This record gives sequence, C-alpha cells and structure tokens, in this order.
Amino acid sequence: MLPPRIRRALRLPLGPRRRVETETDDEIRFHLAARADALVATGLTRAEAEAEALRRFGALDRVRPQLLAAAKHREERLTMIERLDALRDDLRYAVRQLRRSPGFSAALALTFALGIGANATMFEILDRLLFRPPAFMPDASRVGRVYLRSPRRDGTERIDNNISYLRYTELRDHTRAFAQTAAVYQDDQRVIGMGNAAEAVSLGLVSASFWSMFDAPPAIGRYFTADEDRPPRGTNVVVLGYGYWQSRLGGDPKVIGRPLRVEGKMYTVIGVAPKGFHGIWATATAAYAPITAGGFDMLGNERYHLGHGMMWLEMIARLKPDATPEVANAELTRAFRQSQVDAAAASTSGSSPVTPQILAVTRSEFAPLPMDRGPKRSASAKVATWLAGVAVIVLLIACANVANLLIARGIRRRREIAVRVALGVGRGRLVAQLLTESVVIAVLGGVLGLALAHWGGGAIRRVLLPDVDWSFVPIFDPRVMLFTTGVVLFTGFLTGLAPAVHAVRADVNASLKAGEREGGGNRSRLRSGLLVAQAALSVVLLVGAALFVRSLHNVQKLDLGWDPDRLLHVRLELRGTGVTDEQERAIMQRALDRVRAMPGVSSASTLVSVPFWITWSDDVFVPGMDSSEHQRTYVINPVGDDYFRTMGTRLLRGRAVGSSDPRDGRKVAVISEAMGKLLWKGKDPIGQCFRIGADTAPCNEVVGIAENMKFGDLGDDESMQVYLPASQSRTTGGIVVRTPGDPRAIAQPLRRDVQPLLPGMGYASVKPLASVLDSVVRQWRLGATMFTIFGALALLLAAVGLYGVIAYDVAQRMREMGVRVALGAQAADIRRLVLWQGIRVTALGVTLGAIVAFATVRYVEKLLFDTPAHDPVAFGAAVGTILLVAVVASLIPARRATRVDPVVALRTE
Amino acid sequence: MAEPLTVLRGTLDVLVLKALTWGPMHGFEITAWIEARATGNLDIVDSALYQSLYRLEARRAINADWGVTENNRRARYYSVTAVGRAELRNEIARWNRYAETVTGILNTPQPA
Repeated sequence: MLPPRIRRALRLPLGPRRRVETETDDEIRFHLAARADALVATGLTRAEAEAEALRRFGALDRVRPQLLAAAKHREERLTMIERLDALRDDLRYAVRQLRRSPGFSAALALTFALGIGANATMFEILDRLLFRPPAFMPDASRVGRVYLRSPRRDGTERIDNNISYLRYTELRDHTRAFAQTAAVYQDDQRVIGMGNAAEAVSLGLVSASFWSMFDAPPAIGRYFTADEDRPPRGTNVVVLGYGYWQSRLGGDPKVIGRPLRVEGKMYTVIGVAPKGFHGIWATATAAYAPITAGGFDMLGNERYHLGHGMMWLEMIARLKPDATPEVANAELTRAFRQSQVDAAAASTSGSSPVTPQILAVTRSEFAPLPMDRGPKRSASAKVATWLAGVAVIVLLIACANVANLLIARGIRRRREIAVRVALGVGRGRLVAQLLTESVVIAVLGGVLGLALAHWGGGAIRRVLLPDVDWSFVPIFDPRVMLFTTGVVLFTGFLTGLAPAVHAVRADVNASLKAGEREGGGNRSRLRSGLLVAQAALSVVLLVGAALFVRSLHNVQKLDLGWDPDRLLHVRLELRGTGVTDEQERAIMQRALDRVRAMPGVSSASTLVSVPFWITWSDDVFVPGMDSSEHQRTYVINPVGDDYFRTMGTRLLRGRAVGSSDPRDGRKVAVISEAMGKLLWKGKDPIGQCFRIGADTAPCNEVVGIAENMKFGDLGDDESMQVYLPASQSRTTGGIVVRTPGDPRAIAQPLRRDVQPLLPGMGYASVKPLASVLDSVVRQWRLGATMFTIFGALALLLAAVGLYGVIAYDVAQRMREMGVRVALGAQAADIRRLVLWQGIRVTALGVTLGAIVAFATVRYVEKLLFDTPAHDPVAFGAAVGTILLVAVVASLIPARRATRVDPVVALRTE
Repeated sequence: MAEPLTVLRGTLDVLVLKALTWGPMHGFEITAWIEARATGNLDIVDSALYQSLYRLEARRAINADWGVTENNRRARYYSVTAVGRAELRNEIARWNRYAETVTGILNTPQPA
C-alpha cells in the first residue's frame, strides 16, 4: 500500500478544497446509509430508518459545515506536517550527500562565498552611500535636499547645494509643499575647547526646525527652540553629540548648563543628542549650535543673513503627505527666480543683471537626501554603482561554476537517481531534494561570504571610501543580513534548478542498464553553455579592469606641475583669538622658522591657495584688453621664499617671488606658462603688467614664468596661476612643508612644536597633501582596485570551472582515449583533441564577451581617465589573459589523457 | 432503563482509539462497536464521532484510507497509528487512576 502522502498527492488534480468537501460528503452519506441499513435490519421501515439515521447524526444543516471545517483543518495540518517532514528529509539527505564528499562541498561553498561576499561588500557600500536613511528619521523617503541650478557666464550649468541664509528663508517662506524645512551646515574643522584641550572637531550648525525632522528625544537636557534660533543673532547654546559627550566629558549628566568654548565664543550646553544620532551626515558630529548663533559668530560676517554673497548652508525639507516632488520643484523654482529678481533689484553695485534668458534656465530642485543620489553625485559613487553590477557578474560566474560541477556530479549519480525514480519517488520530490542540496551549499557559502565581507570588505571600505564613517559597522547589520539571505536563496535556487532538472530528466531504463563509463559520453549542451557564459562574463570584467587600471596608471604618471608626495600642509587656526593682522603675520613667521629648524624638514614656505583644497581666485585685468575674452579661474597665491622648491614646481623663466620682495616695492608676480600664453599670445609675458580684482587696481609686473599646475582638475585644467610675494599681500594662509621621508611620521611632532606658538584659542592642524589628492584620484583607484579584484575572482572561477569540466570529461572518456591510443593515436593527437575542446568553448565565450564589452564600455567612458573606452590594449590584454588561462586549465587534463594505458582503460568497467 | 450519559469530547477520542485497536474500521463500524459495548448507556451523536475522527487524524493518532465494504461500497477506513496507540495507553492509565480514586472516595462508608 502506498503511503497516504503519495495518494494524497496523486489525487491533487481535483483541487484540495473541493476534494475535501466531496470526500466528507461521501463519508456522511455512507454513514447515513449504513445506519439506515442497520435500523432496517431491526425491523423499521426504510423511511423510518432513514429519518432515525438523520436524527442520530444531528441536524445536517448545522453539523455539515462544522464537519467540513474540521476536515479542512485536518487537511491543512497534515499537508503542513508532510511538507515539514519532506523538508527535514531533504535537509538530512543533502547534508549526508555533502558530507560524503567534503572536498567537493567545500569547493562549492567557497565558490559561493566569493560571489556572495563580493555582493555583500558592495551592497554595504552602496547602502551607506545611497539608500540607508539617517538614524531616527521617520519616513525618510519624503525628506530631501534642495539644489539650485543656474547658468554660469560661460553657458554651462552650475548646480549648488550650498545656499545663503537669505535664500533659505525665501525658499522656506514661499513654498507650501513642505511640512518641514531646515537649514544645516557641518564643518569638521571647528575648534571646541581652550588652550591645549582645544581640538578641531566636527560642528553642526542647524536651524531649530532640524530637530523636528527626527524622532529622537535627547539623551539628556533639551534641543534649542525657534526662539533661540533667530537672525541676526541666535542664542549661544549647544547640543552635544553622544560620542563627544562620552569620550571628552565622561558622559557626565551634570554637563547641562555648563559653558563650552566653541570657536572662541562662550556657549551653554543645553542637551545631548541620543546615542547613534548623526543628523543627516555619515560622520559623527561633536556638537550642534543654532545656525543663527554660529552664523553670527563663526563666519566672520555679522551680516551673514543679508544678501546672497555667502552660500554656505544647505536646505533640507520634508514633503507634505499630499505634495509630490514635481509640485515642490515648481514651487522652489518660482521662489528661486523671484529671489534672483529681488536680489538684482536690491543690488546697489549693479552687478550682473538677471535677464529673462538667465531666468528661463534658472531652476531649483528637490532631490533625495543622500548627495550621491542627487544631481551632484560623486564619481566615486558612480564607480561604486558599476562595481555593484560587477559583483553581480562575479556571483553569476560563481553560480555557473557550481551549477556545472553539480551537473557533472549529477551525471555520476544518474544511477542512484534512476534507482530512486524506479522506487517510486516522484520527480518533483527529487528536484526538491537536489535543490535543497544547492541551497544548503549556498547557505554555507553565505555564512563564509558574510565573514569575507566583514573582514576583507572592511579593509576595502576604509581605504576606498574613507569619507564615510565605518566605525559603527556591526557584524550583524540587519539590512546586510536580509540582503545576503535573499542572495543566498536566489543563488541556491538558480544554481540548483538546472542541475536538478538535468539529473531527473535522464532516462531511467538507460541509466539503470548502463555502467558509469557511459554516463558522461555525450557532453551536454547546457554545460558548454555555462562555460561559454562564464568566459564571456569574465572577458567583460577583465576589459573593465584593464580600462580602470590604465586610467589609474595615466592619472599616476600625470605631470601635476607639483609633487604631491612628501608634502605637509600646516594650517594655523587663529579665528576667535582676536589677534591683529600684524600679530598674525608675526606668528606665522615664528611658526615658519620653527618648522624650518625641525629635523626631517627639507624646505618650507607659506602659501594661501592649495591645489584641490583651498582656492583664492579673483578676476584679472590687462590694460587695453577686454576681460571677457579671458574668463578663467585665476588662482591667486601669495607665497613665501622657497615656495617653488618646496612644491616641486619648476620655474621656467625669470625669477621667483617670495617674502623677501620688499613690501612697499614694485608689485611683482610670477604667472603660469598657460596664463602668459592666454593673455599675451606669443608675446613675452615678462615685464608685462596685469591688475587683480579691478581694472583700477595697481599693476603687477610679471617677473617669472612657472610651469603649469593641475590645481582643481586632473583633466583639462583651465585654472591660471598667479603667484604674489607674501610680503606684498595682506592675506596669510598656511605653511607647506617638504620632508625627505614619510611626511606622516613628522606630522604630529610638527603640530606639537607649532602649537605653543599660538595664543590661547589658536589651533594648528597638519595634513599630508597626498591625502587631498587621494580623494581626487579615488574614483580611478576604486575602479582599478575593485575591477581588478573582481576580475581576478572571475578569472579564477572561470579557470576552475573550465578545468573541472574538461578534467571530468577526460576522466569519463578514458575508454575512448584508450581506443584511440590502441588504434595508433599519438600523445600529441590526444593532447590536441582535449586542448581544442577547452579552447573552442572559451573562444566562443571570449568572442561573445568582447562584443558585449564593446557595446557597454561607452557607458563607463566618462569615468575613465585619458583612456578611450575601446582601448585596444585593454581588450587585447583581457582576451589574451583569458585564452592563456583556458590553455593552462585544459593542459593538465590533456596531459593526463595522453598517459592513458589502453589495456587498463579498455578493461575497466 | 436510566437516561443515557452524555459523552465528553476527550472520552470519545479514547473510545475511538480503543475501537480501532481491533482493526481498521469505517465510521459506522466504530459507532456500532462502541454502541454494542455501551449497551444503551452512552448517548453519542453520530456527527460528534466524525469530529473526533478528524481531530485524531489531524494529530496523526489515526490514519484514513478509502476502501471498499463487504457490500462493495466505498468507505473511509480508519486505523490506529503508533502515535495513537501510545496516546491510548496513556489515556487508559489516566482514566483508571481517576476512576479508582473518585470511586474510592465516593464509596467511603458513612461514619457510624
């Protein structure tokens, strides 16, 4: 007798619900009939008997629904129990199978781990950059950032996320789509504390409305209110970040009401934000002050709230429940245009008029909160998005690999499976069993992959995306876990399905009759297809890797016009110390002397503008020339003696300028070569005169020409350099220091030496300039590193896959090889036969992959540096590498095939 | 004859299990088996028996299967499983202990 579960399964076509009903009705009918029969036997008439039977059963209209419900409940229970039993059996069976060949299982799990680990890593990075809502922010998808789009003078579009306080109030007051708006500003170099305890930390300036965007009651104390945040000057109160409160103040609850020096001004601590609160930023903020208090105290301009000169804060807003982003955009744009018109009308200096043409292309836009999802997303985020796609490809290759190996094993297990089919195990059940196996492997791979992502990926994250604070990445992040679970189930099913169906579809009779030697004779098209797909995907990845590696190489060999290695920048923070310009100049000179005297310093100079970091620019006028013809960014840089030697910028002609030039002497300047060519077109610039800031300013005579410098852009840098003698400028900046060895080693001693020279509130900070450049080069480094890692993974997986399949085929065809050798085939013939098999499959894949790569690379072209997307070297390298790997992977089994002893091969069954 | 006794839910389950230890039976056979032994003392509504059967089946104390009666009619046959046998053993022991205890108390002679 068949077990009930099989019988139940066989009757399924009726539909389980209806079947239960008819069966139960049958049973009731049978019972009534049997009872009536029994009663007739005791002497009742048929009619009496039937009435009595019904009476004894209970009122049918009441009892029948009850019985039906009970029967349905029974079926549900039994089905569930059966499913659980089946699952338990499958799991037990899968684990037994996996333990039978631990090496094989480990290889599969490891393959999955690489693919899953790559995806978990990329997910975590992208999640942080793009998707994760700020902690404590309810319904964060309705909160966004406001951007302004306006035309530049040269016609290109300028996109700003920084706006003036006045514009914030105008946009806030003249839009109705928002339930809440807030002005925010964060600076990670603001000084809190006094004297030696003073340190540069991250300070947030926010409007009082900021707090209502979160559902985050303060850990202690309170937040500031709208009354404390009114222009022109808000109340000097401050809310501490939890981390700062814990690490610097020992988590002392009595801190409320205490004074705290912020940028030299006295503030009162009124509260502490809760643990894990980061506002809208990725990094921890030490303290939050009202934006009107910070604006008044820290911007160096007490009229910060009037006019649009200072674009320093950002506006965030929450949409009303019934408002759409389109409505918000329209309202913002209208408000922004009105603001432009008002500003032009109020302007007394008659600055650039607001023409209808300009207004027509002036817009404002409400975009998602994460910067990298807005119109100003970084190149690194774009590269990271591509890399997420690449990680998926790696996973697909891993799946193809595992699937191929499972198919190979399925062929070996064909007899066992045929036996089970013959014994009456349904094919559906068999597929479920085989699927369970691949899911179990995927789960193992997932666990390993998470470990890889956490420790291996951690290094990648910190090195490649240092702007994000990764310090609180928990081992079990729920979002990453959820994602990984999804990936595991997906890969488990995707991988298991083809092999399972393949194995079960086999002809039972043939399999039972045949010996193992006939099992793999006909290579399946499915397996070759998987190999072709692997090779193709690998080519795509390798082409990507090659393109990014070449970009990075091009970036690194780029002549910057200065030498970024072994340079330190020392910044003296004197805001709030109340020193005069004269005193500041003296302090700077003392600091410079001290630095130059330090061991491990080869030269040092003062400077103001620093490449890729600090830019002071102004307009330049040449007598008798229309200034609109040479609109560029002119970087003004007052420099000290030794500047050119320290920066590693060559002086091409003339002499240098520096602090030794007489203060009240003739005004002189060194300019960059490109600037000379632009302004005086072929004429000798030396001795020529130009004016800075206005065409009435005193004339600066060109006394030297320096080589061009990459200042703000590694590509076509349009910036023009103007070097002035530090002695002839009122602006003091920082100190640049060249060291013979690793500059990081002397950064701290240098800071300690300089700090005592500063008055009470002053603060010295030291930064290696290579780190400034790092963030500029990051997108190519990120691309090159990750594409190469993923490409190498893909190559490894593809090689292992190819090797596995060919080796397996050779093993299956030993008999055939034996026959060939017996018939006189030479070792070379056999080798060629096997090699050719591997190369044919790979070549097909490579061709396909190259076509796909050729069609898709144009999408990454913008992310490359000085490398054409269809770079033949990159394509050649990728194709060559994979063909070479294919030959090597086929060579080992080919050699084994040549060593076949025909006698042994023919005799064994 | 005294008024027949109402059968409690749990009690019916035990009676069904006991009946089935005699061999697989369909619903009416079980009723007949119990009625024959109750000699008119138990009042069992027939539908309650099926409630009991479905309950037992859901917890896998019994198995059900369609079969054919001697008169060639299709009927649902029930048989007791290992789970059911164990349940029956426990229930009989419990019942006996309960009945003995209560009987003993109730039959304590009146003090003189």
